[in-house]
Amino acid sequence: MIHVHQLNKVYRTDEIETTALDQLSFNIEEGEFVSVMGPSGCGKSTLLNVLGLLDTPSGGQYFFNGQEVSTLNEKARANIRKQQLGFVFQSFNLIDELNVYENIELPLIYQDVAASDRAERVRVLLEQMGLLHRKKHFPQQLSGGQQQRVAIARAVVSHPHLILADEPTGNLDTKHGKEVMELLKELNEAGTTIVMVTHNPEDAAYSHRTIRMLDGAIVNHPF
Amino acid sequence: MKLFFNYLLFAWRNLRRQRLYSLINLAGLASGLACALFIFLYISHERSYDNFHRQAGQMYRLTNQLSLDGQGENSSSCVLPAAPAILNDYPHLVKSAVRFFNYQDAEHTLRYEDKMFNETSLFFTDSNVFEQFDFPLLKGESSTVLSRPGTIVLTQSTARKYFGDADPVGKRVKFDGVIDLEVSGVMADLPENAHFHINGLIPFFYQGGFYRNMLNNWVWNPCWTYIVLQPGVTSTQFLAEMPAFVQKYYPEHLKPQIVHELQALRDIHLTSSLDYEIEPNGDGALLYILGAIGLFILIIAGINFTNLATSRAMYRAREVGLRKVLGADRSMLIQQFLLESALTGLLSSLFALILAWLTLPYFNELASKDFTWQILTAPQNLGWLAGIGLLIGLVAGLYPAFYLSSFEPALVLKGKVSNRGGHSWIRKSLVVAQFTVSVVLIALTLLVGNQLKYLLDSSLGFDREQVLVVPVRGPMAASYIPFFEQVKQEDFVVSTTVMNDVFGKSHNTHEFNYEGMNPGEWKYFPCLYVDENFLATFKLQLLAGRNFDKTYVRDDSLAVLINEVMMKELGFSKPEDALGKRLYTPFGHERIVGVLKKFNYVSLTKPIGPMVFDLPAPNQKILWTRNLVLRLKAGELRPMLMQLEKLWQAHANEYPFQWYMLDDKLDQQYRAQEVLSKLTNSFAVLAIFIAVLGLFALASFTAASRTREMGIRKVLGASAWQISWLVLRDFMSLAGLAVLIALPLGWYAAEKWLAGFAFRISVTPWPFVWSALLLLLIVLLTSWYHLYKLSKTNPVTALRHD
Repeated sequence: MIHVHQLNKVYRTDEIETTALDQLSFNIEEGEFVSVMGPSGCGKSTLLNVLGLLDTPSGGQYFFNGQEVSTLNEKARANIRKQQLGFVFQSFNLIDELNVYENIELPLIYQDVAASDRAERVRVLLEQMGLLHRKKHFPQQLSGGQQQRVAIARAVVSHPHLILADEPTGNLDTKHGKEVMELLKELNEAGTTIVMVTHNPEDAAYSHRTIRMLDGAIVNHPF
Repeated sequence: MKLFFNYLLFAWRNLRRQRLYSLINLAGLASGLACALFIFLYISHERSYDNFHRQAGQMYRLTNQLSLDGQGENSSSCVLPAAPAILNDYPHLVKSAVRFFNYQDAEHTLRYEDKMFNETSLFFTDSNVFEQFDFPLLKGESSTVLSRPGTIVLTQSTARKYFGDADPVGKRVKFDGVIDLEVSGVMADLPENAHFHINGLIPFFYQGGFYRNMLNNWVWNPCWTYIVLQPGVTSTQFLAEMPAFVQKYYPEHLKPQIVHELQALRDIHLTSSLDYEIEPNGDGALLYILGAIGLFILIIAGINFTNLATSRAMYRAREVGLRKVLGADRSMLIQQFLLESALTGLLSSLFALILAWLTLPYFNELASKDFTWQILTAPQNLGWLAGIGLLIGLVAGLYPAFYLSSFEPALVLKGKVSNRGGHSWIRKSLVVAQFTVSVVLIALTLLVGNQLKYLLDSSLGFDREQVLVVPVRGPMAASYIPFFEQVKQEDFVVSTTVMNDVFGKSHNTHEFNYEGMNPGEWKYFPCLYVDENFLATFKLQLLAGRNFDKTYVRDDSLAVLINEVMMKELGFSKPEDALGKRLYTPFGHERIVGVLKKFNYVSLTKPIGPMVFDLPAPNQKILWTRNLVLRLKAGELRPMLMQLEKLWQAHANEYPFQWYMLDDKLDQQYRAQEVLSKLTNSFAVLAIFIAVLGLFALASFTAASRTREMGIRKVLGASAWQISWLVLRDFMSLAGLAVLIALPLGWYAAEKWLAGFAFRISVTPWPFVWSALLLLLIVLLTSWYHLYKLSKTNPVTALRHD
């Protein structure tokens, strides 16, 4: 599904050049659950942003489902994002002005999904996540665990091929963190590919394999 | 469609969540729009004058220039026989003509049984008046209502004064105590947007002898004449015939001096300020000034909007990032932000309407208008308001939409968006533009106020205080003469005089010939008939010669006084040189016996012109006595008036007692300037209010966005004052730059406006300095609150920010 070849990302200011990604090459197959681990500043999140088409690499190639996507324009990237990608963030990133139902519905609106279909898909997910009774609530009325469940629901509602999760349990206590990881595992078992950045080895244990990074490069040994 | 509703829903929740921001935004925009709505109403009303006549497009007023070497008059009225002669000679060019005539007396008395009033706006006219003009006739047939001699058509409100609810048709009223008139019809009161108003119309031919004599008089020009050109005929075609017309009819000595012009009916109100206007007209320049003020205020409000939206970028950045992550592309986000600002614009329009409704009585008082809720909510006005609201929303929302939608999701989701970098110069330029407009507006307001004060307080060269004027007319002579004699005995009357015209308006011109001119050539100079107490009553100064002398052995009515300007016109540089010189008139000659120091007898908007003061011949005294002028002792007016009224009742009870104080009348000349001054005052306050709202919000966002920086500075030892100064310095330098730009702009505008006054204040830097100081003070006060809060914040809290 993902084929990355000599991927580079360099941040330049007037004075300094920082290499965030250094000649990365790897593949991720469809249906895999991959963790990315490494110390702060090693480039994990940058990698996730590039994989999620939120950021463009400075060099190298990135094939997504066989298509070279690193050179696409913003509109085409937005199009792939809304059709095939789902995102889960450490800080949930729900839109405060929209309620639970509307937050989950939003990607479907951008995809122009018919109203009846939207309602059904959101309802099914709300039920699955045990959030049906909360659908009118706004994010600030929910617990952290509930917010992350909404965020996951929002990420999967458009049936993405790939879910990119950036420290999804980072802001949650152990109990709620575990719930979220179970949820991701279920999704993966149902066929969704997942790439997850994490600090937590327990979370990484849910994945099939782990990519370890240091100073922008992939290293094979554990830290 | 769903996306559209999602945007709407979001915009609405956003408005509600960010209450302070929304309030400031809506309040600023709504008050700006309300003010623009008022200005729009005012301008459209001023531009709608005389539009209600179906033939308005082809209707013109025939005017009459009379000049030689720049002296003479530019009259809004013509000779009586002009209209019939034109109709007779040019039927292929002119469809119809109607004249209005009132003996050039503003008032006439009407009486029905015991009800008696002095009526303004009674006109003798042609019987086809209701066919040419669309004055709505409530009773009577337009073609016949004035066809019988001795009839009168009254307006509804005039008729009600005399007849209450009874049917006035067929009732008889007495005109000036001598002419019996039968009410033959009733017309509706004319709307305010007519350049002259009517209380009653009387057909011409009733005046019998007088009218017949005047029909051949091609010199006296008291008749306002309106013609309708045939379809397709242009004013140029008509005017091309006028030189021949003048040659055919006018007396020999006038032929080289008379020029007829046409004024389009609809243009009269805003462009005409000729001699002998029926009513004072509006001021077209005022509309431009108000239009500019309206635009200024909308710019200030619009800039607020743009600045607030942009400075809130960091609050919206995460949302932008998220929406992009969820699949929105930039155009979708631009649409969303534009929709939000359009919605805010429309909502502001709604609030503006409410605001306008609440403040309507106040505006009406300021602008001397009578706008109603119905006018406010007329479809075209609502449409305009919504349109402007929408337009401002969109224009002001354009930059924020493009700016906000440009955020990179990867950065903003990590909180890596700064509110201070990037395009901050655009925001700063907008703040400078806003400050500049505010300074110009405040400075101009001060200047307009100063000029008005100057006009009202300037010494005119005569003593205008405590002068009471009683207008009289020939037919009243038997009554007012004994009254006037008795008035002179009253100890509160310091002195009295009579005049055929008062100060403060254009005066009748008379023809003169003097040394150096060809025989038979005439120049027209304003001339005032007075008596020998004129100088004493107005405390005028003689530069040379003597006053009129009552005890003069021969008839002193052949003596004239002239003013200093006339002296120069005659070619003399020293007053003494003019003494004894002759002025020839078509009826004989006069001799100059005195030269008066110049004084302002018309208006400070016009330069002082030449003037001749004459005593009427003994047999013409009654004809030329139109005003009894009384200089009263200083003191309470009421008891004096009561005594005067008592004396009037004793001698002239067939006429209502009527009077006015000269200084009030003179002040009324500056109504337009007064309205302008009041309006600019209010609008400037409003502009400041809107700018303050914007500044307040801007300061709050600036403070918020620099909380962390301030925390660090504090940890490193900066004092509260040093921290405040950092932010303040930015605002102050922007304000300073604005003052530099505003100075030449405002100066230019002020010079341009003041050029319309012959007597004017000179522009000094002071109004600009004051407005700049005011602005800086406002900047200081609005920022202070936030800066104070900021400087008191615990650095630990501040550092936890972000």
